[in-house]
Amino acid sequence: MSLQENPFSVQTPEDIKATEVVDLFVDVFGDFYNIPNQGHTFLHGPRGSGKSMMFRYLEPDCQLLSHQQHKLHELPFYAVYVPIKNTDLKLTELERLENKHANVVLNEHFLTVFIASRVFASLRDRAGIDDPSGDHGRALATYLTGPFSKLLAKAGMPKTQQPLPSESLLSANVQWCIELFDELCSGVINYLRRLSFRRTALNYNGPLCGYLDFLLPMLKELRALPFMPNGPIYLLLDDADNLNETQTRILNSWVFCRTSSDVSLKISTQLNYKTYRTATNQRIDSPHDYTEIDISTVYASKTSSYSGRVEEIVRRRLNRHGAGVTPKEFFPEYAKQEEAIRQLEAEHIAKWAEEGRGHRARDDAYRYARPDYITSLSGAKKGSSKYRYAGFEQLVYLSSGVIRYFLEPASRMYAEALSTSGGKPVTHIDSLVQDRIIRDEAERFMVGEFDKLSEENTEPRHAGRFLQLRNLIHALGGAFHQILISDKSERRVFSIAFSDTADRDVLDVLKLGVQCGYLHEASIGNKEGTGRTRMFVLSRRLAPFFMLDPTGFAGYKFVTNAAVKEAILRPKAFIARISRGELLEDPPQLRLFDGSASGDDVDYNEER
Amino acid sequence: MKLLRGKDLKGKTLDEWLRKRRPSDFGDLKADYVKRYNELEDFLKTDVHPLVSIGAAVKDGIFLNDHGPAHVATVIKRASDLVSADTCELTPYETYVLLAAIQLHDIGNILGRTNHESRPRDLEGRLEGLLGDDSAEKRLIRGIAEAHGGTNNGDKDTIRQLVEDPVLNQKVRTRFLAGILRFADELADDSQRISTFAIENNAIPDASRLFHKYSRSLQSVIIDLKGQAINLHYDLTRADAQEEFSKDNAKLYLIDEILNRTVKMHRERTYCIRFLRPSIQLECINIKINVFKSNTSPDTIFSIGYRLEDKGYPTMPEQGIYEICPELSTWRNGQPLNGSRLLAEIAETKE
Amino acid sequence: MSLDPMRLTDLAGAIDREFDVFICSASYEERCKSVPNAIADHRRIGKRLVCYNHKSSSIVTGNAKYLLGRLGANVNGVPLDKVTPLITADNLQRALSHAGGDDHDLSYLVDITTFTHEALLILLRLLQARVKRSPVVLAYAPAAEYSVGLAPEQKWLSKGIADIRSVLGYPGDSRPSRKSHLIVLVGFEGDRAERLIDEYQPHVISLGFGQAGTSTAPQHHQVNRLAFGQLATKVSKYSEFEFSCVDSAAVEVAIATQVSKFPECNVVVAPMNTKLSTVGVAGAAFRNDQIQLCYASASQYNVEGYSRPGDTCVLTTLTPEYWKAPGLSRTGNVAKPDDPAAPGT
Repeated sequence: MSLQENPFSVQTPEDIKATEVVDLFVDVFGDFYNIPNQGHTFLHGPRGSGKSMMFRYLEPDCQLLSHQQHKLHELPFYAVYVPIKNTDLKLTELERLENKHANVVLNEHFLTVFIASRVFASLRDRAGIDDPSGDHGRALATYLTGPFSKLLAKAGMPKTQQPLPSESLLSANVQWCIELFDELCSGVINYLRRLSFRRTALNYNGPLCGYLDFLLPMLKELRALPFMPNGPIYLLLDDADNLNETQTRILNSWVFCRTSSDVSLKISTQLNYKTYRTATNQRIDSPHDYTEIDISTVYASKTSSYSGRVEEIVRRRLNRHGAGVTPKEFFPEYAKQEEAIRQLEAEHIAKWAEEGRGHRARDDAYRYARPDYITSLSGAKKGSSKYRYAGFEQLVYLSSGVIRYFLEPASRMYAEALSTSGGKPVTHIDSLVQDRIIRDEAERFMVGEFDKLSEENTEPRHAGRFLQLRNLIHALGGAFHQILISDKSERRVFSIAFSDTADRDVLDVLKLGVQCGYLHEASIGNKEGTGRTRMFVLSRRLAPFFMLDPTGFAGYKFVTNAAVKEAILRPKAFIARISRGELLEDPPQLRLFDGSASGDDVDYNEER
Repeated sequence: MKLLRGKDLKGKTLDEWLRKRRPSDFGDLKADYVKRYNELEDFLKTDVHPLVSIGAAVKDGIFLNDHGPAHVATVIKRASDLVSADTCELTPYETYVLLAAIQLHDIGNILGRTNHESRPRDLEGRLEGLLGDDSAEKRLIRGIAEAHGGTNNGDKDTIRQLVEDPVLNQKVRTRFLAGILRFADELADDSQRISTFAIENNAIPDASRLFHKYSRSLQSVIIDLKGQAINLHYDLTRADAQEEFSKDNAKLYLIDEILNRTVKMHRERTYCIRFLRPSIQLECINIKINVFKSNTSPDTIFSIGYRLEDKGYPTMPEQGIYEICPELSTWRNGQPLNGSRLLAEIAETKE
Repeated sequence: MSLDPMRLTDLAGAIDREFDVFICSASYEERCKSVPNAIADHRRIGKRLVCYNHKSSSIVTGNAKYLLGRLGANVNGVPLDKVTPLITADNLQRALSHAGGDDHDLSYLVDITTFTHEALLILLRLLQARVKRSPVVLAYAPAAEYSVGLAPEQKWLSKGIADIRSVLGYPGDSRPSRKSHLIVLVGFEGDRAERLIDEYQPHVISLGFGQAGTSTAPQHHQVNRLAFGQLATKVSKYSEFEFSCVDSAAVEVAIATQVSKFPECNVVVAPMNTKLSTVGVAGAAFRNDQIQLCYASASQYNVEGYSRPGDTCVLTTLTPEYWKAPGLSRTGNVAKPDDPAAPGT
């Protein structure tokens, strides 16, 4: 990598070469152990949380390199990457079929041939099969002219209509298969094109391939070929939110089949998966039909190793770049600020014996020093010093469990530093630059999505969900800031948990917030200690916008549905009431997490 | 669109009703479905059904009872009786689909008995053209035909796997039709299926004799929709009762086969009725078996009767929950889920 | 074909032939009234169709009512649906059939000013199946200002993306084994374009920028340039090209050229610039079935300050060549919907 190239650039994993993937990839399968194991798995996470990178790493070219194996058949599984772009499969014309003609059957055929094409494209581009003796080519040719031809015939393509592979050269036959399935896809699209403006059904006279009668037997037989691994085939379906509802139900039907010993489905979503019902209206459920991972939840949990992962990722990128510094050196803290905070910590420790609130002096130091520092800067005149969001640790916290939200600002910081470096290598990013870009990112995240109209001039009751969400985020952020600069015992708060049941309207707004990345959902023990309740955590990416302390453990407050409604309808009034100590209640056993706490409380990136 | 109302059938069969339909009865559909059905039936009657038993005999060495036109006609008759329920209605298109599926359901035997249910799609040639040119429609008919038995991906619940998908703007109750076909086929195993001549002249191989004797003994199958019951009547002679037969390397008597088959019919009723309700209600099977001294004697030695119905409190499966949910028996590391296993797993994951 | 703007007050006089059908679209923009007001009393215009999104704000329904009243007796409303394009297509089809377009070679005058890009593309596809030799003339009334009252760097027309979908009638011909090529004709809405790119994660990105001197007004070019510049900083690798904001034939050539640079890719084009350039995009898709068109509907529109009407308009005539489909020699050979004689039915 040249010094001019940005070590933090975010690339589409699909386009990254295997050597680079293996260099950059940090093994996260300790946290997500179900992914490389046999069995159907759903992997949820916002864009940029690393799902596609995980999938890319599972592909055979990366697996061969990382396990230093030479032969494909030595691998434990064969993973086929199937990215689903927004309008690849979800064509508007397909809506013409709904309640009219062969909606399920045609959508399944479309999905099947799409995946089948990717299977052979993977064999062409990722498998690296050596065939000096021609044995593999002959084995494939025998398969294609035998069982595969029968499968095609059963699907409705009689042998007389089948183009036949004419060679026994492996690469030629693989290419032949790709072209066959590409043509079958094209056949569907051409049919749909004719359907665009028809109001009545149109005969479809092409072949029809389904999962059970075509794709599964085809994959089973492919597995049996001598060059393929003995283990199962994994179909890595990336961004399955981009399927329409019928296709989603069809995919769920495949999950329902429990064929994972032959074919395991690894399905990633951006938390917008349309349904868990099958085409026959049954529900698939975790854990018996599939296992499920939500990356945000994993990285927000007490046992999180997110910080360590980010450090390793950044270290590898810097090494590749030839930077010769550690991540912490590359992203230094604002020394003056951290020194001031350490002084405040010392003061808290000194007076703990008389005035301390926590169990230990260190607890008070940790809990109050940084909030005190931020409070001391509140109301400071323009131009005087303000809190700087800088330092590797803060940047990690601010990325809120999604690696992309570390890399993208880092990439901007690097670009800026490079532009002012006069051609010299960039060895670190000044804390001022870090802070400015992070604040800019927070501002864009907060303001860029919402209407610029002031909430006072609109009718929030009648406004769209986006405006309601905007109000809610403002209300929560403002409230959490009020708590931070108050004299409460717990001042670092990032979450609310419901003490009663959230109604449909409130939940819709909260779920929109989760989808857009402003919130993430978790669960926590309820106030009564009799079960669990929903909890919503504000994204730490917004910390700079609301002047919050993003570091370390953050607590939560109980809140009623009525209070959240007030936040949605009258955010300023909500904040005012919070500053008067109303509306929010402390959890029953409020104590600082020092790593030894147990029970139901949630800890965020607590490793220190 | 004129619907087929069960109560209006009045003893007519479904195909008789279908043949009286006009193209306008099929709504927006362009094809002439009556003509298509007639052509399909003619082709199969002439070119395929007569050869089905021969194919099975050649392939598997078994002498099937009748799977030809007479059997198809019986299945259609039984299906018509089922559909005669007061609360049952079919569209003309559904009637066509059901009849086409009935015509196809056993032709796979021509390639051998085993897995014959899933064979219709293996048969190419002229048959393809006779089913029209829409792939989804053909797949629909084949799917219903194939669901009459066997397994689909190892699962015997073949009807549940059928998707309810409109075809050519027509709503088709795929599972309902499949249930009718499947149960009608089950009820079509009576004495009309056999060759009496072949039996009397010992022309039936030993391995197949029992099936033929069974069919011969089943004298009548009456579908009593008002009583929500199926009434079966068997007649056998002393000689029939005394004869020992070979089946699956075991020896058994005709009465054993009757008992087994009526239980099978009971299971089929229990299964199919899930998909037939509420239009068709069948709650029990009444069996009457008369044992005569001989074919020429009117004297009954025994008259046996019993009823198969869902009754009593469901019994606990022998293996408990693990029988109903086998995945729990290998929950983690091949170990079953129970209290001590859960504790052990929690202990291992605790930090 | 004239691309020179004329005063709206001269528009009626400039129309020197009969038009069987006039089609326009009501909107929250005042501009939706500009052309209809100018031609409402024209005697040589036959049937009038007023399209409007029926699940829209009260401003839209109010403007629709106004247009239905203003355009005289021979007028029909055509409800469109911004969420369900099939409803838009079916209602437009019905309206065109009712106007006699299925059986006769009608001439059309279409005010494309305030159609959504998607509705306009669907309308063009429907017209392609009907137009034979009679002319289709497009009228477009440029805005004097967009995002009224805000400084160039603060201007916004819409926020967020509600849905991304392929445009009905332009499914493309995507092959799963190929990589993807996204072509964006960037307008004012750099954010929306950025989100679109983020969603697609294409292998190749082509960003089109409106040529200087072709904007409908000079001040728009500056805003467009700003949006393009902001977008370019966020996209790491892209191929840049220019296109005319007003000359649809030139746009068609620009798209075709850009497509040919990456021949082994599945192509998706997102027209996000002027309606006139969108007409050119449609032309490119008519000629090349492999091009898929996509539409990204916004979550929120700057309804109250979207634009200020200007006092000019542009007329452009679509030639018969415009309507040609790939492999066919003349217009009118594309199958009409439900046509039993259509190939493949």
